[in-house]
Amino acid sequence: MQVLKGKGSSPGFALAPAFILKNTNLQFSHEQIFDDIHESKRWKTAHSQVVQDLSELQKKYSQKGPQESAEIAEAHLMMAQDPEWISNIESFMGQKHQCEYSVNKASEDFAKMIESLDDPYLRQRAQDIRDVARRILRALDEPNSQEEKITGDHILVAEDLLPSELLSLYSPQLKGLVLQKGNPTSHTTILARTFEIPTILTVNGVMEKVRANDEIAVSGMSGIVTINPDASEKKNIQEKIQRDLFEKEELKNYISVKSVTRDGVAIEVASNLNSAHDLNFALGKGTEGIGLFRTEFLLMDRSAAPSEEEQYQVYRKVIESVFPHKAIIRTFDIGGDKQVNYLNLPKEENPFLGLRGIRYCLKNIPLFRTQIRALLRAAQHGNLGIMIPMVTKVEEVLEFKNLLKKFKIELLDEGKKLEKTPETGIMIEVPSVAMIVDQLASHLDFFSIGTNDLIQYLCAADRMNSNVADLHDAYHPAVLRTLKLISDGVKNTSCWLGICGEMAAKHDYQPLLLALGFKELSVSPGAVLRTRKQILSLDMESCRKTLQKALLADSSESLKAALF
Amino acid sequence: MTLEKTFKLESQDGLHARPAGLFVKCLAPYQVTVEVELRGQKKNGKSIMSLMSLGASPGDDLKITVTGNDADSALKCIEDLFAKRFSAE
Repeated sequence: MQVLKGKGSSPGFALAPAFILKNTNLQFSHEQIFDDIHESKRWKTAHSQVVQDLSELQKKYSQKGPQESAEIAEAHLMMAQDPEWISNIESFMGQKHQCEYSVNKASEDFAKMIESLDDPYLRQRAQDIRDVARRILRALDEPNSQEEKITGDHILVAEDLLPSELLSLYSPQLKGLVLQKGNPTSHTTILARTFEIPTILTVNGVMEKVRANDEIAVSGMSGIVTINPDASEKKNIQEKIQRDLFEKEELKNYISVKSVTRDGVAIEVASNLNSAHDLNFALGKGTEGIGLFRTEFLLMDRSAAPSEEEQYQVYRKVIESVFPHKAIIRTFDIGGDKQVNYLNLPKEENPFLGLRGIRYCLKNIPLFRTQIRALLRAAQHGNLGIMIPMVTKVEEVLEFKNLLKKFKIELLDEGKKLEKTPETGIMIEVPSVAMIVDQLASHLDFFSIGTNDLIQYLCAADRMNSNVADLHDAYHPAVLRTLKLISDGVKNTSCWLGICGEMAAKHDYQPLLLALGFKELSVSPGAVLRTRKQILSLDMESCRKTLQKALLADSSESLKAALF
Repeated sequence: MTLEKTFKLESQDGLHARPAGLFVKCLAPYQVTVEVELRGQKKNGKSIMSLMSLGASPGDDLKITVTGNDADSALKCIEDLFAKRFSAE
């Protein structure tokens, strides 16, 4: 038994023999000595085979879905038939270059051009061009080879996997995916999540350590790969698979059900999203709105901040897709551990106590202005709530509200129609702001608790630091008391209270949250149905009783005990 | 016959894979050459890779030149596409 660790990127468990996708070793000559007629024949055969394979893929997925798969297959097919690309390849071969060289060169030329663009979505498409090129190169390497047919359950182990390769290799027998490289925001990873295949990326050395038909156990959430697990580990993982399977089937019944307690109190179960790519997945799980859309990811992996128009399009898409539910979009939460090269964030001794969240934005008005203007415009397309992070005092809220007013007047002066006013709210992450909720309420429409940060600042412990991680404790009585304080502060105001931290998905905590008057629980899309099922099983009376007991607890242990 | 017209890109996203694909697909039936120009770069309008490599974002003005016997119908098809903001239906 050997245990490897990678980055868990699609949750779930799997146990099956390994199928290793061997690397095609692509070496080719740069010399101009090849017979162009022969090379051109090889090209035509390989090309028509690839076009045929891709048409079949496209047909298959456009009939059976999911939609993302059909779109990717179709885009690849169009790329394979691109006249400009084909004519570049043929002209390299006309100069006596080898077919492999010509395909690679023509594709790299396009891929590099696209990679140099500002638009992060387009930059990712360079991978699609390389994907199509690699298909051709494989077809040249082994002409007439049918795509390898795999029978029986298996876990795919590969150096890296292109989206189209995943589409070709996907079958209900594909139980897990383990990649030596891989990128958490690539199409391959998004597809794996859509197919609900447990996936682990960046597993160092996995290609050397796994032999064909080794048995592999995969824990998609924790990122643990076990090669040839022993009997007890096998039993452990099989139980988890069974439980998951059973649960998944059962949870389907909750997709289009409202989240209402047994005694009729409606709660919104919403999703936390890092990007618009995961919208469809969340909608498929019956999410009741978006409780947290993190915008700082829009700033990353590029050379300059996105324009107002680009941001407007993203926000609008999010707002429109969840309408009539609410979309809560959080303004840039940068600083702390989130670094962005071109913003020149200062190096700080104590980044978590430094210039982050709203503090940064209020000192960098041009960046903030662009975002607020995009949000005010996007608000016209549905129900938007603008949420600001890392607030510690009322002055920050007032300054934000003033800016909001100012940018609104600007837009009106430019002739923009702004009939809908978005709701405004703040994250509660800092103890100081938890204590003045009642004073803030008259300026705002909602509060949403970010539990990880709130616990970190309450307990003065970093959960990523293994020496003190156990002190970062959701069951510390002070955490519950703080939640009670917030809940009391919101009572008798017109604000609603939500939560978008990890705690919202904790089953034992959910009765407490309901009793404390939370109207919205925002969780990762994969946890929406489980949370909804739990709410349907609760009634407020017993939730209140549990809360009374829990409030008396004087240690983590006794608090946990009170929740049983 | 050569026709020329400038369009403002008002689709949700920039000229991404899906809208670029729709553009190419709509031109496929016509005997025309199509040139798309943005900020001095001219690209083949029948090539999805070339269109994406323009990096056109919402709000950009694209100058489109259509040459050939079917120029009329091809341009009409492009007009529809822009009018619908590249939505599929």
